[in-house]
Amino acid sequence: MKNRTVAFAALAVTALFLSLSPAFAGTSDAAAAAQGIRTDISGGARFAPSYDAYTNILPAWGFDTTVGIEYAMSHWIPLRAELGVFSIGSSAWDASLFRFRAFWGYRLAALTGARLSLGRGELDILVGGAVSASRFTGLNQVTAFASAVGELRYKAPVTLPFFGGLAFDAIAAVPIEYLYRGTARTISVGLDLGVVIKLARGGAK
Amino acid sequence: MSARSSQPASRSFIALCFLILAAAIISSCSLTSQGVSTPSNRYALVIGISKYCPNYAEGIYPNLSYCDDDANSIAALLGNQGWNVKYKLVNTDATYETIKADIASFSTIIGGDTNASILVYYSGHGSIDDAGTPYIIPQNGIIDLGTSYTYNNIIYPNTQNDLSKWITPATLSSWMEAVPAKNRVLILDSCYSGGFVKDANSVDTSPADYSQALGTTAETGVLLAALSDFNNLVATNLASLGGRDLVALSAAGSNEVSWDDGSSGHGAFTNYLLKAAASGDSDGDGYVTVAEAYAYAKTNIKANWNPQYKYYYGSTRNEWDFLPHISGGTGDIALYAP
Repeated sequence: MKNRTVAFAALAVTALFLSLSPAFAGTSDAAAAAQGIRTDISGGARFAPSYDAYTNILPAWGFDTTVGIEYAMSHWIPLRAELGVFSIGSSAWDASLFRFRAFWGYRLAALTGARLSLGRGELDILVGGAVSASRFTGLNQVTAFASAVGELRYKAPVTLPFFGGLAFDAIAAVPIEYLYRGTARTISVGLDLGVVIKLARGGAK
Repeated sequence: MSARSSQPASRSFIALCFLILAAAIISSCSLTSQGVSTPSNRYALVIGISKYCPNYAEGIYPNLSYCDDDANSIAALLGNQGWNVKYKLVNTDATYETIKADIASFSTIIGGDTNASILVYYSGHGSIDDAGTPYIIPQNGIIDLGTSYTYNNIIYPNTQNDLSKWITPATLSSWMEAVPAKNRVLILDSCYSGGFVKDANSVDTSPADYSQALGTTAETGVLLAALSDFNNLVATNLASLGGRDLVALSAAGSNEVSWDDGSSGHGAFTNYLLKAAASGDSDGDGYVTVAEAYAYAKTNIKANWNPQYKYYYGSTRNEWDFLPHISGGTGDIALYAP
């Protein structure tokens, strides 16, 4: 229950961040075509069911917050690096009153993929791998594991009319991750929202 | 781009926000224990040994004071919390042979049921040898030689250890793993019992000897612990999808002792293990898991026992303070399921 409360808080903070941050105003539709190094921050909810050799998939929920930096070329992204924090709650019970433990940790990912124009924005299709350092929540045991990562990311310029026309480049992402966790495997599917952070040289006075 | 031309994208973005919030709201209601009834195929063996030398009173070394009381209370509690306590071995009943036989008999009891769970609880002496191998000591692991000595006007038995009866983690694991149960739980309230807690593809961040006097109280952080054995952890986690890990809970670390507690009438650890049934459900889902019981016992031992019993008879080296440990592995099991 605590994890879900924290997930709510994370979503609320993300929404607030998106709606209030004036630093991201003033971006343009040139974003989709921009080349070079880009940074972003995103966060959202995760559906992260696990299974092992003895039980069917047991659902669990969590959240993540990720900071990304990538080098973008015209039609592809040679390298995207992500550093994130995640938390996955305890799973549902199986019939024998077994469940998978809650865990949280830090995640470092490297991805690469294609960059496509879609509508007013840009669709990135990325694949890669990640390693995570993770603690079983509230316990004395820490582990590290690898995961395979796929990610669909849509970036588009957005203006919020009820915030005085606040404009920024928004991100909606669907990260999919397959976690190799010893005797268990976890499939994590997320829905993240975020913003592109402009590392501008100068700006409006 | 003007604000006007981006209106459709803005509406889509806002709609997406609401979609995520709706998903989170739905998820918050979905993972309680509702709909899962307590199964009848959960079997327990409870062991408590105070009287290693039956001709002497409890508390006269090597006899302990409250381990048999621990077993009686734990057996009664488990019986009300979703376990069939098939065997309770107290004092002279708890020999190497009976412990082995009773664990083995779980295989017969379970039969072809692949959904069963077993639990073994032990309260009694534990030890460690010079090579660092920990043991639990059945009642016939200490032999009363029939003679005695007097110290401070108290008569103690002369004893001899029968090491062939002492039980190592490897032996106990092999007995429990031979039972075709889906879930296995091991709970030990004994000295050096942390040696029975397997890390299972993880690193134990609690010190093996928690000691305020020696300053060994710090627990390792996530990144430091993970990086200490990073390559091995990643490799084993990649490779080892297979058997389900034993969920083990110990009163103490692998290099420290645990204690009887005269004020509670139980072992210090078992006292809080018992109380966890009423107060340990941290997520409020109606069940107290092994991990929740661990967290409850650890928090209370750290807050209540350790500050009070920091030193042993004024020594700065033989401390009373200790911490429970729990095994690694991804699984957790409902310990108390009313």
